[in-house]
Amino acid sequence: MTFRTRLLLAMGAVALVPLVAIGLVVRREMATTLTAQDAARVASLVTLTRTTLTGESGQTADRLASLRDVIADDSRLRAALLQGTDRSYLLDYAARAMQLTGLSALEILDDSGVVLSSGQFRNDYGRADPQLLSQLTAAGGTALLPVRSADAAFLVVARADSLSIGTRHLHLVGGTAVDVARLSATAVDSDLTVRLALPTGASAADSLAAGTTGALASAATDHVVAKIPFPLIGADRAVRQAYFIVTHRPTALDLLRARVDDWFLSAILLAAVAALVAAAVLAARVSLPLADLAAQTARVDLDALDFDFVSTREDEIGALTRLLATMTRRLRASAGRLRDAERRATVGDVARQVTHDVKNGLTPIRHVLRHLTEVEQADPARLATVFAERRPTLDASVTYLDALARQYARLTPRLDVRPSDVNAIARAVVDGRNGAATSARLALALSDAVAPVAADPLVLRRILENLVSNAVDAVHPTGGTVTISTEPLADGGVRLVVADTGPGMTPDELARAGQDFYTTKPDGTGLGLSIVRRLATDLHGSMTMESAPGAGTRVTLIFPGR
Amino acid sequence: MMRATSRIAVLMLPALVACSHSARLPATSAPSPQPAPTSTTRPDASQPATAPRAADRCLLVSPPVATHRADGAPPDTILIVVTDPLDSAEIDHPRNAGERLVAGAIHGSTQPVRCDGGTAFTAPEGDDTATAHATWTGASVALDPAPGDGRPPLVVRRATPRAARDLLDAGAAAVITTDPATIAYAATRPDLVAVPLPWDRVYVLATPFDSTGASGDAEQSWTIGDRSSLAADAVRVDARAAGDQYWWVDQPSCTPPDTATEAADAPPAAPEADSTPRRSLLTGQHRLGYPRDDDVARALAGRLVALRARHDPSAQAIGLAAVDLPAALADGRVGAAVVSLPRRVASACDAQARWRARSTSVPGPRWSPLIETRPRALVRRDRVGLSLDADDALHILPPGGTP
Repeated sequence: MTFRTRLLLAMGAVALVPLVAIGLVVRREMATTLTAQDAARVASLVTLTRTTLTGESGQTADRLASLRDVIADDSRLRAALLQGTDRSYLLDYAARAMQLTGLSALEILDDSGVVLSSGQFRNDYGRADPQLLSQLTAAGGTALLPVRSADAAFLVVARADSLSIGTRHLHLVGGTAVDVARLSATAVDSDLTVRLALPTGASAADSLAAGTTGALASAATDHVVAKIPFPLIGADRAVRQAYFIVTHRPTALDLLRARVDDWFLSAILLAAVAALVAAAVLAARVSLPLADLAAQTARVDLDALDFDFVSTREDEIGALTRLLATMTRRLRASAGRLRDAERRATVGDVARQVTHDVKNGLTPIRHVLRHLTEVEQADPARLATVFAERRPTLDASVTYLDALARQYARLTPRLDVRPSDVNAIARAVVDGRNGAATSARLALALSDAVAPVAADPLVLRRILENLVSNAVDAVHPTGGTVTISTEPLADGGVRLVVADTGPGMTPDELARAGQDFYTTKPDGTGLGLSIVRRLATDLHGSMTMESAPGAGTRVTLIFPGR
Repeated sequence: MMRATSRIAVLMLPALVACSHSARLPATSAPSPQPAPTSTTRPDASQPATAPRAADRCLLVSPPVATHRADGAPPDTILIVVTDPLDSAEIDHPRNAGERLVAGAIHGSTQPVRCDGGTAFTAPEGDDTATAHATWTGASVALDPAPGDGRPPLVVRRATPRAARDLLDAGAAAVITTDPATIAYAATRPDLVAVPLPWDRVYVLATPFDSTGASGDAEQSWTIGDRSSLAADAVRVDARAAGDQYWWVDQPSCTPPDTATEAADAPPAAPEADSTPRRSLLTGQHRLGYPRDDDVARALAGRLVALRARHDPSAQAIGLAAVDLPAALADGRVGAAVVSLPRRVASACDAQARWRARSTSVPGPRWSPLIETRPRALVRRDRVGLSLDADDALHILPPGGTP
C-alpha cells in the first residue's frame, strides 16, 4: 500500500467518521424532537376540536333556552299555534328566530315530532320526524345531525329543548353547522388535518350532509393520529358513533428526514472529496519529493558521484536531502582517496612483480656464472667447453629477461598466444636450475602424449619458474624432490603438476597461500602464487593446491584444449 | 321593427277580455277568463282606501287635485318603484305589472278598449295617443313625455324590497310589489293605499314533454286542494290555486311546421290538469330547477322538494338563470322546473315559441299549473292616481289627471 493510499484512507477516516457519528446523532435527536413536537400539536388540536364541539353544543343549548323564553312570550305565535290563525307567521317563525339567534338550523316540532316550522327549510313544514327527539336524548343530549334545506344538506351539532304553550308541547331542535375545515385551519401545523369519519352504515344523505363540513374522511392515505368520538343521528334516525379524526400527512416527517439524509449524504460526499483533495495535496507535498529523492539516490554509485542532492525545503524531507548530499560528498572524497590508494598499490605491486620476475630471470644466469667459475678454478681447460655447453642457458635467460622487459614496457601485457610445448618449457626451467647450490632434486615426469596448447610460452615459463622456485625453497633446508609432471587431457588440453616433498602447509596456510603478499619466507614477496593464479586465468586455465603438514604440496594447473 | 312587434305584443289582446282583477276591486265586475279560484290574499294586505269613481271602472286610485304651479315651471318627476324584474329586453313581452307600466308609457294605448270590456272608449286626453321617450339605465328607465304633452316625466326603477321601502319613505309616488313585508309596511302608512292588481302570473311545474305519453313515476296529483295549500302556506305573496284552463291548453295550431305530422298523433302539449302531475317531478337528476331571482318559484320548489324528500332524500332544488331553465329542462340537467308564465298573452303560439327558442327540445314541456299570484300597487294618494287598461297596462295619473 502506497504512502498516498494510506494518507487518503487516513484523511477519509479522520473526516468521515466524526461526520457520520454527528449526523446519526443529529438525525436521531431531530426525529425525537420533531416527534415530540408533533405529538404536542396533535394533542393541542384534539383539545381544540373537543372544546369547539363542546362549545358549539353549549352555545346551541343556551340559544335554544333563550328562544324558549321568547316563544313563550310571543302572543302572535301563541295564537297561530292554538287558534290556527296567522299560519304564515308560524311557518316563517323558525327562520326569523334562526337569524336572530345565530343558529344554523332550527326546527319547531310538536309533541308527535311533526315539523311546525323549519328555519333552514321553510317549506319543510308538516314532515313527521317522531324519532328525532328520543334519539337525541339517547345520544346524550347532543349529536351530529344531518339537516337539509331545499337546495343543500349540511351537518350540525344539534341540541334540543322543549316548552309548553297552552295545551301544546313544543320541541325546539337547533344546531350549529359543523365546519371541520375551520378546525383544520386553526391547527398550528398545516400538516395536521381534522376530518370527519362517518360510521359504517351511514346513509347517502348523511354523507351528503357531512360533505359540506369541508373535510370528510375518505380512503385514508393519511396517518390517523387521534380519534374523537361524537354521536351521529343519521338520516335513518339511528344513533351511531362518528369520529373526528386528526390525520397527519405521513410524508411530512419522512420528507424532513429525507431532506436531512440528503444533506447528510451531501456533507459526507463533500467531506470525502475534501479528504481526497487534501490527501492529494499532502501526497504531492510529501510523497512526490520522497519519490524524487529515492530516484536520485538510486543513481548513487562510486563511479557516478558527480551530482548533488539539493533542496530548499525546511521540513524533514529537506533535512534528509541535505543529509544525502553530505553523504554523497563524503563518498566522493572517499572514492577519490580509494582510487589514489589503489593506484599507488598497483604501482608498488607492479614494481614488486618486476623485481620478482627479474630475480627469477637472473637466477639461471647466476647459476651458469657460478658453474663457469668453479670450472675455471678446477679445470680451466674445460672452460671453453663448459661455456659452450651453458651458453644456451645464458641466451635463454637473456631472451626471457628481454621479453620480460618488453612486456612490462607495455605495462599492460599482451599475450602472445600460440601453440606452446609445455614439456619443452618444463625442461628449460629444470635446465636453468642445474648447478644451483641447493639440496633440492628436480625431476621430470613428462608425458609424450601431451600436445601443444594455445598459450603464451613466456607466460607458461613465468608460471613454472614461480612454482618451481617455491617448491625448491620449500624442500631446500632438509632436502627433497621437486617433480614436474604433465599428462594430456581428453579435450586436447594438458594437466601440469608441480609437487614437492617439503613440510607441507596447514589448512590455514593453504587458504591464505593464494593471497597477495602472504609469504612464510623471510625474503619472499608473497606474490608468487597470486601471479601464477592470475597468469593461469589469463590463459583460460585454472589452478588448485593440495597440501598437508608433512605431506608436501601439490599444485595442479589445467590448460584446456581448443 | 321592434316597435311594431311590441305594439302587437302589448295591444293585441282579446278585445272583449274583462279586467281579471275585478273580483278584488269594488268598482269592477268583469268576469274572470276562467273559473275564479280560491284567493289567498294575505291578512295584512290592505284594501284600497279610496274607491274609484263609479263612472270609471278602470280607475284604481283617483289622482289628487292639481295644485297651482307657476307658469312655465316643469312638473315634478314621478318615481315609481318596482320589486319584480324590469328588463328593457322584455318590454315587448312584459312579464309583470312594472314592465307593463313601462310598455304602456312607451308605446301608448292606441287600442281603444275599455277595461270593463265595453265599447271602445275615447282615449284620455293627453294619455292614449302620446308616447314617451325611454332612457334605460340598468334596471331603471326614465320616461320623458313628448314635448307639449304636459304630463310630468316618469322614472321606473327596480329595487329590492328593502330598498323599495326606503324609496317609499324618500318620496317615491308608488311601489309595485309582491313582497309581503313591503305591503305590510304600507298598511302602517295612512298616506299610502295598497291596491291589488290583476292576477298576472301563474306558476307551473314544467316537465319535459314525453312524446310516448308515458306517465313516469307519478307521485301525486295536484288537486285544487293541493294547489290551494301551496298558495296558502308555501308562498308569502298574494296567491291562489291555479285553475286548469290557460292560454297554452289546446293549442294544436302552435305546433311547428316540421313537427306537425308527428305532433298530430302526440298527446296535447298541455295535458289535462289531473294528468300533469303524472310526469315525474324529479326524473333523472333528482333536481328541481327554479329561476334563482324569483322568490315565489324558489318557495314552491322548496315545498315540492320537501314533499319529495320524504321518499327521495336526494331530491334537491337548484336555482338557475331564468333564461337557462328551458335548456336545462330539455337536456336533463334538471328533472323538472318551477317557472312562472304570464297569465294572459297576446299570442299563445308566440309565447310557446319564445320558450322553445331557449330550449333544445321540440315540442315544449308540459306545464302543470300550481298557483296564481298578483302584485299590489302601493300608491301615495297625495301624489298620483292609478288606472288600468283592458290589457292590464297600468297608467300613472298625475295630479289633476284624468283616466
